[in-house]
Amino acid sequence: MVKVKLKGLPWFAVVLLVCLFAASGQTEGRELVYTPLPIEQPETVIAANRPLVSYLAKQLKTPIAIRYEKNYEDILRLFQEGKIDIVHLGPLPYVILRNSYTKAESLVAINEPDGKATYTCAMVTAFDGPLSVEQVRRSIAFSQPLSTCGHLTAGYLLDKHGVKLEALHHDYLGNQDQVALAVVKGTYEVGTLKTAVAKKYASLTLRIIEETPAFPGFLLVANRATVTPEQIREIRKLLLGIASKDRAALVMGQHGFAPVLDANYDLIRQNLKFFR
Amino acid sequence: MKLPDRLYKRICWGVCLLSLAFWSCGAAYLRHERDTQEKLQLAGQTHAQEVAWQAVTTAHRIAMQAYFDSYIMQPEVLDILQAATTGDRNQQAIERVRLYRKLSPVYEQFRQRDVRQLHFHTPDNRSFLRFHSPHNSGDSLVASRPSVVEANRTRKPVFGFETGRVIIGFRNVFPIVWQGQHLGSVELSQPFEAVRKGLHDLDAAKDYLLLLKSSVLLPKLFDEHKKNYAPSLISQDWLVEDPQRELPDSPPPLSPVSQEVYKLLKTDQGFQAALAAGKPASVAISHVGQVFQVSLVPLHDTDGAASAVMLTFVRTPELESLYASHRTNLLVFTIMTLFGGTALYLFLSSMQTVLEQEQRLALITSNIADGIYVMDGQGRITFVNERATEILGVAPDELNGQIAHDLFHRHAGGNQTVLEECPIYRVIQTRGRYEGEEQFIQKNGDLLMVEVASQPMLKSGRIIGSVTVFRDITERKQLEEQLRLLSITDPLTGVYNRRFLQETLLKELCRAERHGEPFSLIMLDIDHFKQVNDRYGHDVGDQVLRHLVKLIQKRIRSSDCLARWGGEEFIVLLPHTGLLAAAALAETLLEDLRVSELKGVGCVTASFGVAVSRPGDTVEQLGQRADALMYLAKQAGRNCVRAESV
Repeated sequence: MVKVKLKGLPWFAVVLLVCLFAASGQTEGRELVYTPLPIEQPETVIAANRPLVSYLAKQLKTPIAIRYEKNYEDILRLFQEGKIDIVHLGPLPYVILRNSYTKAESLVAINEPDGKATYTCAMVTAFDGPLSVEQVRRSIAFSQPLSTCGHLTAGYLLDKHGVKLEALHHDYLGNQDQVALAVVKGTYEVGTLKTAVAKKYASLTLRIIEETPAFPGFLLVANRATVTPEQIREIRKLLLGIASKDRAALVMGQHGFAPVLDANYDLIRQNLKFFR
Repeated sequence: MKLPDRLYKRICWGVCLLSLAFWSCGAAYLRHERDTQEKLQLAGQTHAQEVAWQAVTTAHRIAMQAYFDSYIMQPEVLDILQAATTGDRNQQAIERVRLYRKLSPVYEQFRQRDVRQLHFHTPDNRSFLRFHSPHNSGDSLVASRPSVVEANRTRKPVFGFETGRVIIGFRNVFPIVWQGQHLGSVELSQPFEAVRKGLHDLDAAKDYLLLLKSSVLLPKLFDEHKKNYAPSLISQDWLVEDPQRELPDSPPPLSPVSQEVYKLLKTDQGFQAALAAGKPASVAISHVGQVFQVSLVPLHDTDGAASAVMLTFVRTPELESLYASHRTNLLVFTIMTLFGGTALYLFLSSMQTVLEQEQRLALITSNIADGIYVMDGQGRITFVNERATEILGVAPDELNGQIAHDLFHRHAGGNQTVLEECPIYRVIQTRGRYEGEEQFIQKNGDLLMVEVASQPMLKSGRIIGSVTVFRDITERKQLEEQLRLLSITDPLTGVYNRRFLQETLLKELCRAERHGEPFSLIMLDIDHFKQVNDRYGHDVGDQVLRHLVKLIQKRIRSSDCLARWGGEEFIVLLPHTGLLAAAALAETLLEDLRVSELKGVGCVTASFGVAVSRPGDTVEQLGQRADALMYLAKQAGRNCVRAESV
């Protein structure tokens, strides 16, 4: 009996080692989940983010899946639950996330078409809408509560012109395309959205009546609870050092990436009072 | 008899090649049958898929026509379009917004009904308003949308599949003509998913996949939408929309097994050929023991270019059954071929063995010193060897088919008998072996003494013929006769010798005993024969002996037996002869000697003793009595006869 056990010991060790190697391999090769910012229509968002995801997956030799979530609150919740590894966020949700979840680590900021990692938000109306912010009386549309160009921007711009946001009827429409189209349709008197998105709708008579100062840019955030420090370093290194040839193949990120300076987001922190 | 190894190898190779050729033909035929059935099955599937496709797209087209009539051709909509047609750029933008406001609720309803695209076009083929992408307008559709150009040109609706700048789908382009004024056109288009749902409702077991030709699609798409397409697993030339199924209204992904089959299509030559041909077709793909049909329905743009194909994946038990049946048939055929080949090999080997044996037999029979002939059950000759023809002096053709008994078998005195009385035939009929000496006759009429051995041939216990071996022993017989004569005769005088006489005497004693009929014996001795030898020499003595014999032979019967008893003593055995007749013969012989003079010697005399057999006599007793009588004659002065008293 003892003989049999001793005889089987090497085999047991081999099996154990194989299991250990298999387990460690599984950790290394685990699929990462990337969630884009639901700022526009899903097909537009996914098409814009896929080249970046493919590039990262190829460089990291790790499969990355896109998980589209249309609600900011859901994105932040899932991120904190460890079900999202990398997320594309605007400055407001980033600040809010950082306040409640310390394992959110910024990777890179995303440059806008002007090459800077800043952007502006605008208040827009249709051809038959108010000519200035002061004339806004009825209603206003936002994309999502946590959108930087949503509640926070509206509060900031209306306050600037002495108009009380609480006096207006307002709704959250999901994404900024919906905001633009709702204003075009005349469903809402005005709406707030990213200036770059608003300009897409110029052919539908969408007009900018006010604009914010430059906000710190959109950024990619990694979940330290699920992404290894090596992977975080590798992603940051990859994106900040991306070759112009590879960058040209991107849509989201085609204008390059910049290091994240947390101090830049103090502007958001200072105006959090407009976010409820 | 064992065949040489080389011959076995030749037969083995021959049978192998023949079996292989036979198997190849059979397998090719079975394969042809299988392929024919497969083609029929695939053709049926292709046709069914085309019909389903037509049915679904026709139903959708009818629905789109109804939507157009109900929602688009309304005065308020037409007023806006008319104003846009006549207004400046700013007015056009305002009218675009008004139209968007007017029909947005309708478009939401359309989306619920799988209408993905509501797109208005200007009369000069520019995009006026895309409800699915409202911010993209004003671009020319001339290059990318032939269906729009066609509808605006002909003022007739255009239906069909077409790629586009934002989405691909099934276009239903309606020209808008109001009060005689051409206001442009509008299309209500559906994505592939809408048709897929319709097909899925008809047959839920099937999976569908749409492939788009990159060379047609990519030049048309807005850049922002190009990333929603990726090369298919089949070919870089064909794209799939939203391969990860991330868009909200994407069709569901292929089932895992269809996905595996889809991967196999890349290396399937039949499928690649059908894809290149751009015609409806179906191929069968085997995967983990199951057979799937993949049907290909090419979709042509309204300008006729093949810009997409719809693939249908479905498991096909009919083909699985067909393949299983083919495999079984092939297995059975293979086993039968193996059996057949083995049987053929054994047959040819045995044939070769028989041939070899026949050749050897022919060699043996042609070189053997004995004649051999084979007869069938009726006694007809079926085979005869060369030696037999030589012995009998006839050609083989003259023997074959003839009754041997009638042709050359003769009996005592050279006479013929009927077959049933032939001793050979009678023994053979009892399944026995006959051995004996018989008389055969040559073609020239000469009789031959032959030694015959005949053996019946049996089959299933029935006599089917016989094999007879015969040897010409005529010379031997003659020689034997000569030897026999030499052994029983006296070489000097030619009469029987003492030994033969003793044997004959014994037989006669037995016969006399049996029949009660006595016989007589004359013993004679030449008187003073020693003096003749001494005086004239032995040669003369011999002449005297031969002279005496001639004299005696002239007087005795053929049935009598004259023998030289020794020296100058002779005995004459006289069967059926009494003492008186014997004594009379002795007296006659005495007289013959007395009157017969031998040249140079003169007359010689002899003394005679005559005895007659008595019951119970032995050879010695009878001989002694004759000898004693002969001595009595000597004692009586010679040249006289002394007989027993009666």
